[in-house]
Amino acid sequence: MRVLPVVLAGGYSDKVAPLNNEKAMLRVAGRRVFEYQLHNVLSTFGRAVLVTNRPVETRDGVVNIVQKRQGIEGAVLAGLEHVGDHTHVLVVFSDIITAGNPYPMLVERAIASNADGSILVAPLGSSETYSTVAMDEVGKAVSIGAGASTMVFLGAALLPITAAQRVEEERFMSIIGGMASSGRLAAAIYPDDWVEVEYPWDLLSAAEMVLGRMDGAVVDRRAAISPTAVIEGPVYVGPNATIDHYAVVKGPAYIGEGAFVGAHAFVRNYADLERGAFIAGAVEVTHSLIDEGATVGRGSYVSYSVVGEGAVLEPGTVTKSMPAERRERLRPIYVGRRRVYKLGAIIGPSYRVPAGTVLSPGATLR
Amino acid sequence: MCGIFGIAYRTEAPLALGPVLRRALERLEYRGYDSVGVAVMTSANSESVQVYKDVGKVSEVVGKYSIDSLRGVAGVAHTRWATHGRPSKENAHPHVDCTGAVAVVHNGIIQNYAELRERLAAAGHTFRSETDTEVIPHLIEEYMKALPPWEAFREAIGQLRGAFAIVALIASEPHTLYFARRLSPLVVGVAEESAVVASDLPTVLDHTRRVIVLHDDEYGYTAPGEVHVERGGAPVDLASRVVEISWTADMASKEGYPHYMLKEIHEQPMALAGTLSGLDWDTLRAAAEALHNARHVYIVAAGTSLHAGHVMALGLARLGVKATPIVASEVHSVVGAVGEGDLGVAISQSGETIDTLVAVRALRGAGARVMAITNVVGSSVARESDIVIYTRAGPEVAVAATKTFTTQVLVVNALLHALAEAVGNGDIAHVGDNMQRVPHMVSRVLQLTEGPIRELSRAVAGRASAYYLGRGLGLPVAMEGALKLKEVAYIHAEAYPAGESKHGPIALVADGFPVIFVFLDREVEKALMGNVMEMRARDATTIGLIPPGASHLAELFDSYVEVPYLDPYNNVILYVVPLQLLAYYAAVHRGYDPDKPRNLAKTVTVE
Repeated sequence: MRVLPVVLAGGYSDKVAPLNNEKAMLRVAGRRVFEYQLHNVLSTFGRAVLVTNRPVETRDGVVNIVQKRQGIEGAVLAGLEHVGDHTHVLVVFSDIITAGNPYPMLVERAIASNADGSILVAPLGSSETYSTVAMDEVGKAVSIGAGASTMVFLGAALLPITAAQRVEEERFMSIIGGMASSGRLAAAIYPDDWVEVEYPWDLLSAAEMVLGRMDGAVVDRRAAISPTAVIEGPVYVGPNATIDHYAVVKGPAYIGEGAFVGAHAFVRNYADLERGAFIAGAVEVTHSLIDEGATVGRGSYVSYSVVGEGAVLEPGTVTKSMPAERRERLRPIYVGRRRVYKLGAIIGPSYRVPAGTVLSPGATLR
Repeated sequence: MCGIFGIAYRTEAPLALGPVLRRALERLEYRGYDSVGVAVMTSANSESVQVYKDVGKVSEVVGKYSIDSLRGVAGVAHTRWATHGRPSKENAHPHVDCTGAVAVVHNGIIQNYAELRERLAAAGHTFRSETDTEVIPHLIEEYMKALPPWEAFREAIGQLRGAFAIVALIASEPHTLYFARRLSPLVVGVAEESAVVASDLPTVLDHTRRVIVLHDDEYGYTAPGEVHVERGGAPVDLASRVVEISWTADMASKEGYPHYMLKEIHEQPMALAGTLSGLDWDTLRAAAEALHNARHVYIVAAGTSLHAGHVMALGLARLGVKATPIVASEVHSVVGAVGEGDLGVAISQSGETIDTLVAVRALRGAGARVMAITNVVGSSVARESDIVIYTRAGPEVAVAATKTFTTQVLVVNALLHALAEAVGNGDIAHVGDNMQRVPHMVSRVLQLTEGPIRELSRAVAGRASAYYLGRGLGLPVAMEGALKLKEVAYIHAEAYPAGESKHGPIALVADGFPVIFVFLDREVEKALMGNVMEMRARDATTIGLIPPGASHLAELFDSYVEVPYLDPYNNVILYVVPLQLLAYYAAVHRGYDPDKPRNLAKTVTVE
């Protein structure tokens, strides 16, 4: 079995509005969304084909191909241009971020069950928009998108090249559905956490998952940390980041390259400050993503919010974070016996929020 | 409670021994994993063995000492679970003599080690560890001053008191392994090009399918194509002892599952189907007759197996047979009442659980006959029992028992069915008809419950404690669920008969305390509903496993999971599966490795 991994990072989505509609290019904890699965694939196979809308900078072992036809089928087709002497293709939807690396399991499962290929599945409480996968007594997938099951397709499929090539004339999901119903696909169960980035607030869940797995603190030697600042818990502080006097950082938190945290600011758990983010004095940030070059003005309070690239919250902006509309898309937090869902504001790239604004839960500004 | 392995090749030229030893260590890791070590004869004419050992998991120690790259003609390997001496590099096995020419791996306890150690130290031997094991190589060294290796080994073994399985490698005989067994399991593989000895079958099966399972007090040596065993100074005839094993060692690898525990949970439909098709109804009918004729039945088991024992006791009571389930290590409390005409039932997955084995001997000593239910052919408990019923679940590697429990219950149900037919009880007879549907139903349970259970596991994972409550046959299921949660997720969990919960345990229940109810028997539904209300009144987080479509039950709970329903006896199997999953996902969510719970070993072979 020689596997050609194809990471799908192209396509456009309106659901992430007002953020950049190329969702694979959005950032979480210093990486673009697609880089998480690309990293897993590279550490498993040492090589990958990366399919994108436009050329992107890549690293060793990665061949970047620009997708000509839209859809999963177009992307798989683009990846197959590099088929060479590979026997199998591993199709990876890069908008699903997994806490661990599922690909060695996926390959082992196909081999152990003597199947033509395998798909990644995960147990899910309510299947909603996901395709359910029914399995038989020996753990093979028998149907996809039909039948009572609480297992769902988790966006990775290992297929023989010949099967993948049928995307010329057949839908991708229909190809794997057909293989499943003829007993040719094994199902590998992924038990750990994962987040699909579909809506803007999914970035908050992804940041929570990624930051929640940090163990220990990394402070780049080029970072400037004031002697009166306090840093506590797992945290990453990138090169040339500044943490000014009397600022308090309570991890898990990510403070990217060149980011600035002003005097008396309070950066709380699950704050994700991307490269060049500017947090002015006396700001409190928690469970929020402040994207590249965004500014949070003096005295603001930002919780459960996404502040898009280059956006500006003028001084005194306050986000309110409960209750949330569309809360079924959020990960619940347990408070006593109750599940609590929170959502602050989603602020589009380069948007400017006037000083003193109080933003309602779920406000979307563009 | 350790894993031991030895291999010696016919060849004079060193082979790639490292990967073979690593593979054996990985297989044996379930038997103990606080430290790991190997000893290697790098060539046929070396004067000493090379030892590499340290504290840690197999992967850590293998990586640290590049064990994969070792070459040689013979080697021994060991995974340790500390009994004498804390886990440390010095205390890890193999242990060597003063000259480094004798390497020994050992599982068990040498009771007279202190006295031997004093004697050997006085004779000038230098000890490097705190272990009981280290006396063995020095003892062999001492006797080798006057005797050839085999005689010296035999003399040394004769000095040992206690429980042991031992493999020794002696530099002057590079193609030979010396071994001895008393109470701790040991298996010898029969092959032409290599000699193999290990604590369990799967490890030997990597090398040969023809094996000899050693009996207590047997010792001997093996070289490629040759096995010599003695007992009490006389050679043992091995012709009838060689067994061909049909299942493959490959069944003991993870096959693309993230953990053995999840793999084994998902293997249950096939394991149950295997058990079902392997049921020998003649044996079951004979066993049912023995149960029927018994004056009193004592069911002895430990841990998960005891929960299968509780199912059996409840079923027997319903069929008019007096039965008492007893924790095996407590058998001495009742043995005074045991006599001829009584029947002991020993349930043990491995058949090597020392507490159960000791209980079997006590019951037999008091005059009872004994029936065994075990998963391992030729195991000690099986050999020492009058009637043996095998569960045929295949090897189970995860420390937490899953498929071996459900197959035990299936066997128990088959026994109850056979007995019900014999005594003409219609209530339980239909259990036998439903049994055929169990494998498929378990597959459905997995599909329907794994998603919601994973979600529920997050609520439980954040809690310090949980209660599992049930009535009747729901109680053993609750007990098993609580045990699983403790074992792998390290969450304090207790099971109670639901009616008992208000006689004390309910005092702990406050806002958000998780209480899991098992509704698998419609007969006790009303009473159990009352218990749910009591817990709700204390603001507990109530979670129910309930039959499908039972809306009057669903509305009682904060969360519920519908589980397919057959009959109370077969439901024990169906309803325990979601609780296995709950423990597994809670462990994963808390970041623990469910396959290797701290402080536990798969098979408890020391008292």
